[in-house]
Amino acid sequence: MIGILAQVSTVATGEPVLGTSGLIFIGIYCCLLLLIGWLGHRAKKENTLADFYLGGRGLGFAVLLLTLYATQYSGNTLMGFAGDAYRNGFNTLSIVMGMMSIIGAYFIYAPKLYRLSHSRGYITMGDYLTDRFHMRSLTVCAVILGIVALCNYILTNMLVLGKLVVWLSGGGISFTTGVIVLAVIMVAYEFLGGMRSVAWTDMMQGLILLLGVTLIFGAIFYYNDGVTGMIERLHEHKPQALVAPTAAENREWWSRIVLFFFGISMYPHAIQRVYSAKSEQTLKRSLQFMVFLPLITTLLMVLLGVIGAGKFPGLDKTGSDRITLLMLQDLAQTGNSGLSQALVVLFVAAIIAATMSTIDSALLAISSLITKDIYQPLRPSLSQDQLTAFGKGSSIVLMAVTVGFAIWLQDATTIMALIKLKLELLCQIAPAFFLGLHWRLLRGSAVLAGLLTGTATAVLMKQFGVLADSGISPGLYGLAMNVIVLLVVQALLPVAKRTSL
Amino acid sequence: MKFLLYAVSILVMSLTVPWFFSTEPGDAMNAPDAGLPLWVIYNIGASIFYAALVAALIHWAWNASAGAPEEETTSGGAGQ
Repeated sequence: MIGILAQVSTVATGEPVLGTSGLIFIGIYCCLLLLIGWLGHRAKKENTLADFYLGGRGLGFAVLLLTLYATQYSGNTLMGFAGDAYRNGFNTLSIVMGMMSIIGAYFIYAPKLYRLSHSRGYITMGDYLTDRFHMRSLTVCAVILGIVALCNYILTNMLVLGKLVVWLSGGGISFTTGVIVLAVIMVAYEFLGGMRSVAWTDMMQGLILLLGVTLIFGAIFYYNDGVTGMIERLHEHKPQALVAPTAAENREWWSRIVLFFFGISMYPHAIQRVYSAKSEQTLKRSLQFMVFLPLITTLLMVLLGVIGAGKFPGLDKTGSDRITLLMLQDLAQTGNSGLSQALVVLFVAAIIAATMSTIDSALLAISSLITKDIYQPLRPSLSQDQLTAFGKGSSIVLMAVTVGFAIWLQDATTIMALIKLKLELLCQIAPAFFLGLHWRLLRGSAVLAGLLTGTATAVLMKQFGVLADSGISPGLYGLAMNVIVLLVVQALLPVAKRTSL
Repeated sequence: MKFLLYAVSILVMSLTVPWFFSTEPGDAMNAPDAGLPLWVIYNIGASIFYAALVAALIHWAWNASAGAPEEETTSGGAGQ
């Protein structure tokens, strides 16, 4: 994500990347999003939190699969992964496995959580925590961690969107105008139909992303002589890209996979999608398909970056993050210019789609956490209508605040290190789900002690660079401390009554 | 039983890392003469195996992971 920011910020003004037809295409795409939002509003069955935040628990196979897909892949998939592969060669394959590992994590907690969510009416991750541990402080701490991580996620994606608009229009549309217009579109369709609209727009965005990645890779792979051409060029220009990782690089590789496993699987909006499935069969089939999707998304972008490393050697960090576009421009010269132009439009649409689908899902999740887990316990007498209205209002306020921060921070660089903290925080919630769902004697106070210790460890280690050379993420050191403290506190406390969950 | 399945899936996940092909720093000249390097083929193959394993576990061991017999639920839960 930071790579994209660096990449798009280098082109503040100049020739527009998209011509008039490309801009019209993007305009039609935005209008379609609003239309889908309105259709989502028409499909509303009742004015309740479950209908607004979970689409009435009625997401079918295709919608669930594509909303999970579009939510988990952001603009980083298209730009950042290829750039990373350009610089690090096949070592970036760790991301492919990382994306698959998320489904392995779902296998551990989703089956039981899904059944509980339907029998006990969960809407947010906080509902499960409250029901399981009966400890308000634990729920609030976990929810705050989730909100902080999601706010960071939204902010980085908003920065990308704004700079993307400036870049695409050659400076004709300002950062502020671009961010505000796109934010209004996202809030509008989310306000109209909640999760139903978000999931339906995700479906379209997921299809654009899938189509964009496969077509771009297919064309570039074809015009660059496939695997043979790729390997020959790497031998000639960048043989180190072919060399197996060192032991330290393998540790880093493993750390990345495990961080994805515990961190991304804890995204509050991903947990809500587990709750939203129409049936257990729907959820099972969606996850079975999802586990293979990195092979036709992440892997293709990694290979594209590696092909680029042989084709355009010697690029710096900023240049290498632009490798996909360089490859498309090269395609225009060596292959079919009409095809290349169409692919550039598709590529841009895919980045915008991936980024918007990430923001809208995260925004909806934060709104639900604030409404259900923080506001409702303070005002238990409020009706479903009033809570839903509060949820919608909170989405608007949240988006306005995020847009304000994005405009304020558009040229800042020092704060970027702080907003990179996402998975390191989210993985501290993992023991509450991974252990809490399967260990009936586990007590909330042990989970809370572990969560606080793990979070403090991860943040401090990240901030002060402790053991930064070890190749292991600070988030995983935090998680290790989290589990140790959890076990010690659990052992010290009197034996708890077995939970009925 | 379910914990054994979790352990197996996590073990396979860890084994997709090309531990057995580790090189020393600065081994750039050890790149293979032709074709995809063996460690890349290993990793992609192991990743596909992991994906197939997880898909199979979701299919066959879902109920075991849920810890109770299947109670097919459909839309319209009690969620308020």
